[in-house]
Amino acid sequence: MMPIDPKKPVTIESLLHLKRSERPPQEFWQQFDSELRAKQLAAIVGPKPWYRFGKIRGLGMALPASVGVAAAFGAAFLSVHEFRSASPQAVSPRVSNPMPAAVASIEAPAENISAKVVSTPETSISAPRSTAVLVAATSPTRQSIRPKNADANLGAGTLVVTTLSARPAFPDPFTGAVSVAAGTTETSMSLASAVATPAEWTQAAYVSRPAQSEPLARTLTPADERREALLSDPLPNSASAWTSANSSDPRDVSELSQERLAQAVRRFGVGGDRLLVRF
Amino acid sequence: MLDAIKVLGKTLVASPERSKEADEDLAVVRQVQAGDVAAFDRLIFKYRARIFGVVYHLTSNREDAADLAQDAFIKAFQSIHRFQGQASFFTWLYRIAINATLSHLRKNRRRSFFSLEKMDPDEPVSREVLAALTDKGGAERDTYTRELQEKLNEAMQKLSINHRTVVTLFEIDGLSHQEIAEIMHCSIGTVRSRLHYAKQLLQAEMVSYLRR
Repeated sequence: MMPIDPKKPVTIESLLHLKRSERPPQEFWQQFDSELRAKQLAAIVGPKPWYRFGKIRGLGMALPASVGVAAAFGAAFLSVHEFRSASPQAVSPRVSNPMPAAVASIEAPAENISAKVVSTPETSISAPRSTAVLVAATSPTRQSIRPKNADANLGAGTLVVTTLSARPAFPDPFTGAVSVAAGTTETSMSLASAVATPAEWTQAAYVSRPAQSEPLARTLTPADERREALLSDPLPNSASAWTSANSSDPRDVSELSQERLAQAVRRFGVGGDRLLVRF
Repeated sequence: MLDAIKVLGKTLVASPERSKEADEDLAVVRQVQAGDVAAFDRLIFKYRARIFGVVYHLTSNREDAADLAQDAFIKAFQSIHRFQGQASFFTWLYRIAINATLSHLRKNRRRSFFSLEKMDPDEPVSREVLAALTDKGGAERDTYTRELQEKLNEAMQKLSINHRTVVTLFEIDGLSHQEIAEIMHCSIGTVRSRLHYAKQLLQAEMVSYLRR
């Protein structure tokens, strides 16, 4: 061992060399290695970000952002398109339409509609210029109408007839309302009330009303729908619409009120220490 | 052209030992690139202390240094297929680590606190310097050593990031001017200038500990 010279000058370099002796203990490296191993595994098996899936390895470039933007625009367009075609469905006759009629958008001539309606209940028929369908119904004979299939999910160019059940007094008839919504709805009200056979299509009535200008204005928000479902009316749409349109008959009103009361009571139940409410 | 760049890269490696070391590293890197992932462990084992050391001296925080060193190895592992041998693996790895550290320091410019490793007073260099600075022994010497260490780290942290990096790589890690210039993407003159200026600042800060 060399003797240490206490008179040796101390420079900044020698002080910096002191820092070389700041070393972690051996245990530190065990932890370091284990952490590094874990990170390495995570890096190998970890999920890649979505934009790296499109990476073209040979070119070393990723898919341009414009592809994503185009996709977003496409999705937005489809959503708007779907909304426009489906928006009439959001109109509930019991809320916005005092008549027991269905709101629909129509572009095709009425004869075409009636001809297609009678072909088959619950059948989709191709209609060349139609883009969307709304189904609702009424009966000129004040039947209690219960739509079996009130929601028509239809693509472009289809026409649907929805059958509606009738009371036993009318064993055979189906009452259907058909509407064909055009892409650009200028005339926006159609009602087809069909009974029994094509021969009875004379009863079908087509009512035209001015189109409502803004589809959004006619659409209920989810909050409105919830509130409406909870607070207002336990009856199905058609019955409610019927009631509002035909409330002048006291017997019917009384009958419906009893039915509403019974349905409202049936919605509640007691299970153990819980109160059950069906919606 | 590619060969010329490779030759140029190798000439920047200072000593023959470094050149040999670079060739060995390159062989291991080729193994990793060929799919032998386990071969990368050898590179980790070889360079972990040095990488940790340089990051630690830049940050003066052992936890940050451990994280950053690990991240540097992960980044190197992830992008090793892009390593073409234009520079030595050692230089390439250093560059990754230092870039990550500089980025970390810039992000956390206001947050800096020390978490220092214990200085080993029994190392030959330390023992010599400490003996020249103080004739105390035992616990008093340990206290003095601790105080000196904190003062030195404070002075280092007062330097700008670039100056601190140059000082760390040259004085503590022992790299050549050429290697530092290659790692920091600057000229050798810039490295020398930064080193000179940084030492002046450090001397001003540590004047009470210097003895002429």
